[in-house]
Amino acid sequence: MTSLAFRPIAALLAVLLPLATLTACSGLAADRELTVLGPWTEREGDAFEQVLDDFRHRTGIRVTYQGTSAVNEVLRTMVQEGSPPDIAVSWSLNDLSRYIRTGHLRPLDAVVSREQREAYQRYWLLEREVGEKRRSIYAIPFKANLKSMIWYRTADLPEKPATWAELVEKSTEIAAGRTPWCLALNHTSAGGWPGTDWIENLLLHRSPDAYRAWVTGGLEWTSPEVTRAWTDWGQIVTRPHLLHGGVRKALLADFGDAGRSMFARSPGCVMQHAPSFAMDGFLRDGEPAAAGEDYDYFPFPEVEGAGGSDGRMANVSVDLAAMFRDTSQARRLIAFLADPKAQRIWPSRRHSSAFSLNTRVPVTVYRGDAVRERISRLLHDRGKTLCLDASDSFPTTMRNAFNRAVLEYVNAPDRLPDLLKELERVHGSIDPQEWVTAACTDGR
Amino acid sequence: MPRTTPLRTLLAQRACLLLTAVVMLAASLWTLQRIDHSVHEMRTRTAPAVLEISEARKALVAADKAAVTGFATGDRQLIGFRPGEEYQHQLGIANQSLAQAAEDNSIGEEGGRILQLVEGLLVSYTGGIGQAGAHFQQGDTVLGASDLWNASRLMHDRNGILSQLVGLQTQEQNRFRAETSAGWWTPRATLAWTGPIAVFLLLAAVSQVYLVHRFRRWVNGPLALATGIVLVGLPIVVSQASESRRELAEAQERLARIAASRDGAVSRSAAQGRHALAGLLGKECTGNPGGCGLALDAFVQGRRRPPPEEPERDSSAQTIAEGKQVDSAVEDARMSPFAAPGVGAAAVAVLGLVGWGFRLRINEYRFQPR
Repeated sequence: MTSLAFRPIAALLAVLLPLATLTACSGLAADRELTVLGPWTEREGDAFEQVLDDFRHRTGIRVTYQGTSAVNEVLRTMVQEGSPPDIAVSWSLNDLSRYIRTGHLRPLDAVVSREQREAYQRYWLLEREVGEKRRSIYAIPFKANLKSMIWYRTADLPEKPATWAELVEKSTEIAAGRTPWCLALNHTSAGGWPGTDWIENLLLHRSPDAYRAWVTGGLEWTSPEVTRAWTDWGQIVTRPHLLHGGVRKALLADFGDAGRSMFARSPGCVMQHAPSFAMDGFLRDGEPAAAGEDYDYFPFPEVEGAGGSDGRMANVSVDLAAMFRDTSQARRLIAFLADPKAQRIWPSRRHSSAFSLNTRVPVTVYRGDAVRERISRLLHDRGKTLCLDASDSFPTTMRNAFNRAVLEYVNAPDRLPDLLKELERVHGSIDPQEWVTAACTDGR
Repeated sequence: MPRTTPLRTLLAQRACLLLTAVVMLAASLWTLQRIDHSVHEMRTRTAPAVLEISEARKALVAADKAAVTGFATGDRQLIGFRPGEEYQHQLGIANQSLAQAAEDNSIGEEGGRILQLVEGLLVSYTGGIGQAGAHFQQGDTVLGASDLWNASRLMHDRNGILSQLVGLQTQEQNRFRAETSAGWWTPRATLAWTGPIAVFLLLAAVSQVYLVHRFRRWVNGPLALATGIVLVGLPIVVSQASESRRELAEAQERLARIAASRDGAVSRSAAQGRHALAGLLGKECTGNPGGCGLALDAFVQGRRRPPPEEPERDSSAQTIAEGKQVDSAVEDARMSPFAAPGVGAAAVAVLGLVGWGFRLRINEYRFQPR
């Protein structure tokens, strides 16, 4: 055996040695996963996962989504502990504004192209000037919900009321033989919010200027305007025979159940004041009820009084995506979410109740559904002034107090004066800096 | 000194054998270190995390049950409607366990995120229970029931607190299970460990044959002894590592049994709490025209029958005992403290014997006259 025999053996060593080294040093640092926190769970969570699946497929980036109905509380905890998600989606414009002030949110100017930004009204991009820095944008609206609407069973309401007085009168008329309203105020972490929508719309559609002042912290809760909004609502909610299941059901039923009652075998009611996503709960025998045939909506009626909104204004809530960690992966996801391609995925799902504020998402995604197309057109109409839901704009303590006051009022309407005083006390205790500076897309 | 072919061959053989012996030593020590690290991780992080999370779940359902029962049966004259001391006590246990689980979390960022989510949800949950207390104290039983219903859903729903903790506990247990089948048994790790040994034995055999053939010797004693050390040491190390893996698998099974037993206790306690809540909600809703909403009505209907009674018992001693059992079981999986030094000593001996074994033959060529 000569040295020639050792050449293949030496070659084998040359292979084994690096292999051993590689194996020993294996465990290459894995690419970091992208984390997204959002408010959607169950069916809505599945829909958002479909959006993320498209992103994963296009980029190969791993994304973990955590959905929770208590998104703002959870986000606050994460931020306080110094480990926020890469991206969070929140409907609380106030919370996100606070994170901008504290420097937790990252600007998106370099992430979202000018062309993409032009597809949205500037109000939704949370453009802010922080300290001596130039104005930057900090959020992308991903999903919008129209809130100035009354849903109704088409078979049971041939004429739609145009004013609040007509609506109250119609309710009384219907109550002679049926129950006019489904009302369900419960929610796991924000019970009472469906009631706040009533009060907000009543104030907005009576006096938009009062609404603006109220949202930005400049109007007292004990003012005549705000008090009147509550008592207007009381014309319906303090008369139990107008509510399916009475006050008890209103206080205990989950908000999603209101729509189910409307289309139950024995329909519980004729009308429901609820946001556009309530369509998810309109089921007839387990199948989605037909928009335009089984149900439709009319705009929240004008309320007689100073100013009025002349049908030009509407209340909305918007889910805003914001970036907490500036990484290349997070930037790519934000840019993706801002793009019409991503914005149309969820609205394109069958029977979707998701709407985009991106004007480049065509109404054709709704496949001829006239009700959904109307909602989409209204949300894209730059001639309309969209005003953010007041409680979404309020500081957290104000919002929570408002939600609770709604429940207390429905439970015991004669407590209204005390409730308003308590709300005003909370209002007075809040740092003025905490309030948003504009309530609507016109910048006021 | 001119290098003749036989001398070059001898030098090459010695060099290859020495190099292979060094690689063999490195690979063996690396494998032993990995096994030891794995056992250490399981003992100090993964196993404790599983126990702490399951303890937290047990405490949370106990707190929830105590809160609901306290509201349902509170003596208004004495304590009014409030969750009571048991609720506070169990909540304290849960918070402690969760804090410990956060420290011991062995699945990285994902585990941290889940625990943060749970923490945020617990803030809402305890706030809801507090609200319920205030409402019941004021006599607002409908609002109090509504608060309890919401808090209960935060705890028990599909994306709720308990569900998140179950997911986390499962991930920790899966990690433990993966460790008992991972490590040196993976094809890559096996090749990395046995490859150099196989090459050494092959080289040693080839060298022996060459020396016998070239120098007409029977057997190179030192080289044979070096080969013998490797042949004897290999099964010893394999046997120790196998034993470690077997003990770890047993520890994992013991942990799984304890976790399953606790799962049963959690389910039973949760059923009792939910039954009490259904009773409380039923008082507000039964007979109400139109009911109280599909979700709540279905919840009440589905829990009319009381679950089996579970005797109250102090489980703290059992918790401590179970923790010690698992710790002891994982500790048994540790390799002998002499394993690594033994491998090192054997490798040094092999290196010395290989050097010695070739020395005489190489020296013969070095000092041969031309």
